[in-house]
Amino acid sequence: MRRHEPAPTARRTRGMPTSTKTRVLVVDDEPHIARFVEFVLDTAGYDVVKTHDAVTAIELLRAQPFDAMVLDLFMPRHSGLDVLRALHAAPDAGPRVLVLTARSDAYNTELVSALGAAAHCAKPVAPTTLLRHLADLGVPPTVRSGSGGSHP
Amino acid sequence: MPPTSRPATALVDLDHLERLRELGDRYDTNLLDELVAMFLRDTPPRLAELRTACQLAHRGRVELAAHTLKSSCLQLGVRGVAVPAGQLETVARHAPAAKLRGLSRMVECAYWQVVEVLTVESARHPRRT
Repeated sequence: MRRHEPAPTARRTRGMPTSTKTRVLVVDDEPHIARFVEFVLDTAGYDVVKTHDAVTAIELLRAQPFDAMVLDLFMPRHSGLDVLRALHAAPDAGPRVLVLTARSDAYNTELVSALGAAAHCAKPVAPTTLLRHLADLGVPPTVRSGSGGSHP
Repeated sequence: MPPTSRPATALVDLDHLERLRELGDRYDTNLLDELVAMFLRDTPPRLAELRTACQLAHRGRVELAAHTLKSSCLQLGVRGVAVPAGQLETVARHAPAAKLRGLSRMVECAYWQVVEVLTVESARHPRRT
């Protein structure tokens, strides 16, 4: 999985540079947590799509481009690990993944890293922490794009 | 000591609630009330799942249900439930079934105290306009 390329943007255009909102997929089975993350990212300027289950998340990732994903690990039926495995098996570059979990023991930290997660943070997460993590991953709310035309 | 006499701050991080309220106010949105309403709507089925899993001593289900509750409560500052739910998650795989049921009852008891605190807090601080 090519997950460490700089300056990601899901929707690149050719021609004059334009400012494009960074697309983030939020996956958490707990609706109030997904809503909190959505609110923080939306008000910061991100383009947010949220879902509450892993299967829908995998379908969305196959159907649409995303620059980043905020992913819960422990969900009923299919887990965040299943989403990471699906991304890991995909041939093309996926989004930067920030794992958000209430159980960040060493085993899970190593496992999610091995499966391509770029970072993880513990719940409860504060708005500033969430935004800082995404910035550290190189996914700010907007991306200037279309200047080079280097991406098909 | 009757359960309701526990200080609200032991059950819920009131500063955390205030920060959520301020965050919503900044964007003229009733974020705190929205999140609390979701929490109060979604938690009773989670408690029922935990209770059933403990009664059946389905340890994997107990662990996941307890983890889900802990995670949900942590993000809203509801430590009065997050703490016993976290204990239950930790011991789910090996504790005697009776202990699982006891901890499950503690989680439920704490939740109903939390409901009271959240309701009082919502009424006490209506959103500034």
